[in-house]
Amino acid sequence: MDTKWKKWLNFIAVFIVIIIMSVTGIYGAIECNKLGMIDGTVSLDSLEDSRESLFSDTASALIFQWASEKQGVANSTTYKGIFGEKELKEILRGAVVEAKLKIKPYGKKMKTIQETYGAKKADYQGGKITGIRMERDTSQKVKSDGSFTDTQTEDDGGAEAFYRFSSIYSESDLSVNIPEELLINSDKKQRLENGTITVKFTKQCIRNIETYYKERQKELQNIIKTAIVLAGIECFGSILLIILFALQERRTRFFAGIDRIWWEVIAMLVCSVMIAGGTLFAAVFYFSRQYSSSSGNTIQTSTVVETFMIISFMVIPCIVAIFAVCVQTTVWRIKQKKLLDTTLCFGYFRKWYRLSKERKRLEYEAMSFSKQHEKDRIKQYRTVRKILIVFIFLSICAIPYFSFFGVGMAILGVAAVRCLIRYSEQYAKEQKNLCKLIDQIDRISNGELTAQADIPKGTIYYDYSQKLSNIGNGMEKALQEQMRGEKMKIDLITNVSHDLKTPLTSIIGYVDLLGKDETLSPESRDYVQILNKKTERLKNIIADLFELAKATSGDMKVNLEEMDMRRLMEQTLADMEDKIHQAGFIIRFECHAKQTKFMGDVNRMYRVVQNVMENALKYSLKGTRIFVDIYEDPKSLWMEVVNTASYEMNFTEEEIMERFARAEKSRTSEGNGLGLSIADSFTKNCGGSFKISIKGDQFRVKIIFDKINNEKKR
Amino acid sequence: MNQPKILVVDDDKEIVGAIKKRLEMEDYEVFAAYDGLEAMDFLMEKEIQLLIIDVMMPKMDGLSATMKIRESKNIPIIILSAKTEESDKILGLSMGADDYISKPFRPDELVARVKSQLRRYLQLGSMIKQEEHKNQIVNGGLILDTDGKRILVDGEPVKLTATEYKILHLLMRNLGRVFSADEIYERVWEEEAYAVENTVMVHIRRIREKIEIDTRNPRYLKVVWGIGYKMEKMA
Repeated sequence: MDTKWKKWLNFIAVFIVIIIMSVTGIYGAIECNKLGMIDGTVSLDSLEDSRESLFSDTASALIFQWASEKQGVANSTTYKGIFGEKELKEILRGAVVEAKLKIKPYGKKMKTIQETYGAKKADYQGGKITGIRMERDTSQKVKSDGSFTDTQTEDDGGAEAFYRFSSIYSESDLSVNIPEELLINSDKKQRLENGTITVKFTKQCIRNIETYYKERQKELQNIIKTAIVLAGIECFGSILLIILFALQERRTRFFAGIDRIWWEVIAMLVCSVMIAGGTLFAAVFYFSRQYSSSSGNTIQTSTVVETFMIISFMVIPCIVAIFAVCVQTTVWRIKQKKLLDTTLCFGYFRKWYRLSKERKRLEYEAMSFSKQHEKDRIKQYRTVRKILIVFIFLSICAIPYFSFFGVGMAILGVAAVRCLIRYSEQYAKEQKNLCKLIDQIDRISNGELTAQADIPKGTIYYDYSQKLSNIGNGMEKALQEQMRGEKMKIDLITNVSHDLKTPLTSIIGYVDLLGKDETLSPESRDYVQILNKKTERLKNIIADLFELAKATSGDMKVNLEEMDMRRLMEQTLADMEDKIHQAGFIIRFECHAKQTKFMGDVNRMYRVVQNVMENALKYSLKGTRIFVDIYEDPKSLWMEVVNTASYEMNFTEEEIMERFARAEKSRTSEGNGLGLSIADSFTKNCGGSFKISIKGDQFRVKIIFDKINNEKKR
Repeated sequence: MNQPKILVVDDDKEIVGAIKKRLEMEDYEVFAAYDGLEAMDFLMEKEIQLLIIDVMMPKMDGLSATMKIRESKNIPIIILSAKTEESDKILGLSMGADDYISKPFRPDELVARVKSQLRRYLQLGSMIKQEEHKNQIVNGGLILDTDGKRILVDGEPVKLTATEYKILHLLMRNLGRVFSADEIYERVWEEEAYAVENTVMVHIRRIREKIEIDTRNPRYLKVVWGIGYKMEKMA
């Protein structure tokens, strides 16, 4: 009960932990996914950027915004930095983009464009001004209409390669992303000759940018914190799982199967899981590093990082589960002291060694008392095996020096094959005969005692088959004799009883007629009375004798029915009321059993109870009581009849059961001594047992039957 | 009316002699035969009212003779046999015998059975058939008259107390069915049964004394030991 409760508790705990871990994993994956969902593109690496690059980032975003609105740059390449749409609009209130561009449409005259974008009249005093100057690389060749010869580089997104950039207003290099369409635009058929873009920020704007930056940072930090906490939960859960598995008292089928796997495989699995996990984290780390070092392909790289994080959260539960199972089975093996046995290099070879030792011992034993041909077989088998072992050894050696050992291998192989062919032919013949012999044994054991097998004379199994046939024939003969004896016995009983009954019928008839004769003297009448009584007794004895003989010969058929022991006793007592009254005994009957049903033959069981009661009435001391009780235990049901004998019982329990044994040695009184024997035989015929015990003057009869199990019947 | 004629068949002449003497004392006309064929011949010649026949006999045994006789005659046949097994009795009765007495028997018992069979055959033979449709339950020689609330054993009315009549009525309505003492008590006394085995048994014994020839070896009212009581269904 207690262990069952524990088992269930463990099971529930494991279930809960697994559910928590899966939920955490899914939640973590969603959180990581959010990283990419935040308005604007944000990555872990954005946090590490310096303040300076923050401004160039903002400038880039503003230039893109301007370019997309005024110059018709496609939206797909729009760069927004860490900002969202709303935030960028806010920034534009305190910032301005001033561009002065010299543009050369292909095959047309050069034109100059001057544009401003954003809050022109704001106070930029004390703010920040940054700018970039772009100039066409004159070393690049240009067609007569003004387009570039090498358009291939254009498609690669390498338009920047045709230009030289220099920053104005700031000491350090300003790295700003310039939309490519601004430089060379194949759709509009124009290019940029040179130009200057200046971006100004007011003080308020700078503060705003810093605030956004911090907000983003906080947001990111929160996500990462959550991720770390979730990862922690995963790790803790895995440890918990390992502990819970280790606490399990009995192994589930799953674990029992796992325990049988070589431990090396488990160890390898642990290693590979660890390597996989390590690789995953390393990959995440590597990609994030790479992103921070090259801000060129920001969008792409950050997506990769996030994907990796999502994957890692999905994969962690699996890795942890495998790890937990492996650790668990290892712990279990150590606990069971079976770790070495289940390893391949130690346990398997030890098992192999033990088996081969056992086989050798068996062979030795077989050799010590078997016949010559069996010895031969074992020897032959050994030869082949040895050759094959050497062959295997050589073949292992032959791997580096194939040319030399190859010849040896071939010769050995041929030898082995030749031996095997020769022996196997011999075996096949013997095997065939052996099968015939086995078939003969099977048939004999199935009752066909005279079964024969056609094994050719002179082969090794011929003699055995002959001996077996002799045994079978002998048994058949004995069986027939026994059956004939049994039949004779029953016939004898029937005939003798018939031969006894016929004259007795005449005697009874004539004694009766004699009694009806009115001319008889009173004396003769007394004699007839005695004759009447004695013939009656003789009749009973013959009947009893016949019944007993039949019961013990096993010829009697019993008709088993469900009976009630209590009812049987009550009926018998009521039936015998007159006799009991005449004998002057008091019978104390009590039933201590609740379920008193058993299987018996109704007529035989009546005889049993009647005989036992008659016996008790006959041999009890006057004035004593006869106790009749019915008891039960979970399996059986028994009836006890206890009486006090009127004489000293100078015999044993066994003696009284012998036929014709009588309570007194002198055989004068009524009864023929067959009563208890009949009761005993009948009880046994019905499947019960009959026991007599004597203690001082107490004579106790116990009749035991198996209870009918009600549950079984249902 | 003439004395009823009885044919006794047995290969043991002394037994036949004893039976003949005993039956003649009861004013029956008795003839003897010593094997089955002789009995058959005798039956062809003479009008016989009852046949007592042994089973184990030379030439033709009692069972085959019984079967043969049943083809043409419906006189009562009592089988005498040294075989005491239940199966032998059943075999004998199913061959068409009306009664089965196992050797050795008490002559008084034989006489009682002969009387019973003759009474049924001679006095009631036709009557039973006519009155069967009335409110009567018939089982062998027993007729329970539900209108008159009385019972006839081989045509003779027997005095029963009200309780005894109720028990007999219950058992005869359900021929062959075994009733436990509790069941009988609850149905007849219409009270809840508690330790009633003895009471019921006493009544059963009294009924038996009134309707059975040999109370130790009853034909009709049987005790199924350890189960209950039943009225044997007769052919």
